[in-house]
Amino acid sequence: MFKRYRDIFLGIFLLAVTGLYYSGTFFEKKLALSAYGGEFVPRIYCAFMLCLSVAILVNGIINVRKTKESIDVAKDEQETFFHSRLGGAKVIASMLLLVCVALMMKPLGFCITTVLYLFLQVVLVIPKERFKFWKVALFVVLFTIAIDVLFVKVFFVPLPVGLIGF
Amino acid sequence: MFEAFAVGFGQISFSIVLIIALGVCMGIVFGASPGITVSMGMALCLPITFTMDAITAIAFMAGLYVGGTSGGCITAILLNIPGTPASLATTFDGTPMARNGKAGLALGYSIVASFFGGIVSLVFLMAAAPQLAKITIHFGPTKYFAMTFLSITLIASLVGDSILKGLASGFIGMMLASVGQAPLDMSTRFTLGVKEFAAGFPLLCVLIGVYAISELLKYVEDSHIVNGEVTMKYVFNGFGLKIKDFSGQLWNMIRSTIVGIGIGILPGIGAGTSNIIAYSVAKDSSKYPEKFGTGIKDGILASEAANNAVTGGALIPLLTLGIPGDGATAILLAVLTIYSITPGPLLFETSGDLVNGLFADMLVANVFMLIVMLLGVKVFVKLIQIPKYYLLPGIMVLCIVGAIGQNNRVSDVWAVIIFGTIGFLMCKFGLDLAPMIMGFILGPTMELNFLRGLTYTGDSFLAFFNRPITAVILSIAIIYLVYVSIRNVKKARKHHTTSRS
Repeated sequence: MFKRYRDIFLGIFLLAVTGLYYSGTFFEKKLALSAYGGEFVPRIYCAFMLCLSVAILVNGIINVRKTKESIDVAKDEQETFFHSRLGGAKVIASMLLLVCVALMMKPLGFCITTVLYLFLQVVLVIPKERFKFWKVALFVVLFTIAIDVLFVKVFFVPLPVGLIGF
Repeated sequence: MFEAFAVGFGQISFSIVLIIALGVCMGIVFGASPGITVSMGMALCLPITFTMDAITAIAFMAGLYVGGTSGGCITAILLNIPGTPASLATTFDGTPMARNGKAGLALGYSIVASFFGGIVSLVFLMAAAPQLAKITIHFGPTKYFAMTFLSITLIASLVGDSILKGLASGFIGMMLASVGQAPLDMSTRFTLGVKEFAAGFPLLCVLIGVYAISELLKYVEDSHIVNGEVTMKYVFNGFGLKIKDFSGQLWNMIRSTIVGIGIGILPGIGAGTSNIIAYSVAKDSSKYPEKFGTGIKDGILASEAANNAVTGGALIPLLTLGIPGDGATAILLAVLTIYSITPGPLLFETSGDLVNGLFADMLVANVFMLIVMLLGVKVFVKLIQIPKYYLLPGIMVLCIVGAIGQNNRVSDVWAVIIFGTIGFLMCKFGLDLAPMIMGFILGPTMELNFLRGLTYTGDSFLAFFNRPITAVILSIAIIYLVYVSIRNVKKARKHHTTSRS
């Protein structure tokens, strides 16, 4: 169903975003000396995006009506946002892992956060038959140490050390 | 031109040569790995340049650019999977040639054609760029606005099937770029009270998020379907190249190089399109078009010469106007920005040595690419057999390091996650990422020059059309938009009629 109505969803979403963006232009402080404030060009963007969003929405509705009798309809009806439930769950889990990295990086530091993240991320994507705990753990630890040494000691790029000190 | 070259070569020390070689090797690995694009590889390696000086950083990036563009032919020929979109057309004849027992020969043709395209486009770059800079230095804000407007409309209309979605993607980029300080009066806007947004989103975080994170999320979605390992079935016993193999192919390579340079100059399009167009042109012009797709050298030479020719062409708008020619030159723009170097016509006057150094770096990179690939292709074949389920999480970590490394702020990781999510969602809804990136990069420039232009013309936009060059450029953009729209509508009607019948 998603693929068939994709453009309609997109048009509605873009309209909502345009509306929010337009409302944001009223919160800017206009400087007295400036003839054109910071809201001038964004409002022009809003005008164009409004037209494009409506065009995409209308195009989507027309395409849905036109393809009513097409043999591809049945196939499109089955297509969901994610290719599969498992795939969708993995994507959401990966994004949550990244959010946890952003939250934990300061208190735990780069090394511990990376070890935890890498291990869980590899577990998410590795085929079941290839998973061996010691292999994954070895890769995770060695990779983290290599990246830490490379960037901190060789390239002098400081990485967060966390409360524990490494 | 030769004096400039000599000055550029004067900057190349042994350490710079090593850095270029490192960049070329890493670029080949990135280019050869399916799912990792040149732009992604360059974005991931950006943190490595933070502690380098400008000359070294640019040399490293030049090596990555050349190596990455060339490396895609390895998996294209051996696995029928292009390592980068730039090598898609190489699979059409490269894989059949490999299956006929001539994998080494196919790789040899690719490597030599890549070198030819890269060198010829570099010579063109060195000859044309300084002359173009002398013209563009006289560009006022109205012309600059027109050029950036043309760039965004070109990329929006040439990439993807829907011009509406292309333009929407471009405007999304421009809207995201408007977060932070307004260009003329520096008032803050759309920050939602978050002080980290006051300076806008860092370009590096946008590039890493959009190019790397979104691609990785797409892989994760299908990771249970796609096997993480690749299997190479071919054994090499040398390349078997002879000079007479190239007789009769010189015009093919020159024509393909011209296609590559032309596509490279057009902002935002890149090598992914040039190789297909060059292949099509070679097939249409050939005396034996029916043999294309069966494993003939003409197709391989056309594709690889064109994709490497883009490297020189794409640098022309970057150096002369500050408009990146493709995703990889967008990363180069980010590198220059980090060192407070503003590309544009004044670059040749204020940082002429740097530009000449870049030319010399590209030449050295092309030579290294030829040597490294001819001697070391077996090593690269081994390296890209690292399972994806280890490789891609490792790349995610590099993305995080890249985000933190630039400003030493953990909050930049949030920007990477946000843009990765935006990139993933845009792909799901059928929106191309290239117009969004171009809109993000060019939006502030376009806005600034538009407002300055209005000031110059006394608040009249119609007065933009009183300036001949500006009027011509804007008219080209509008006419092209209309032409592509009509063409797409006709295509859609034809497709609908065909599917009904």
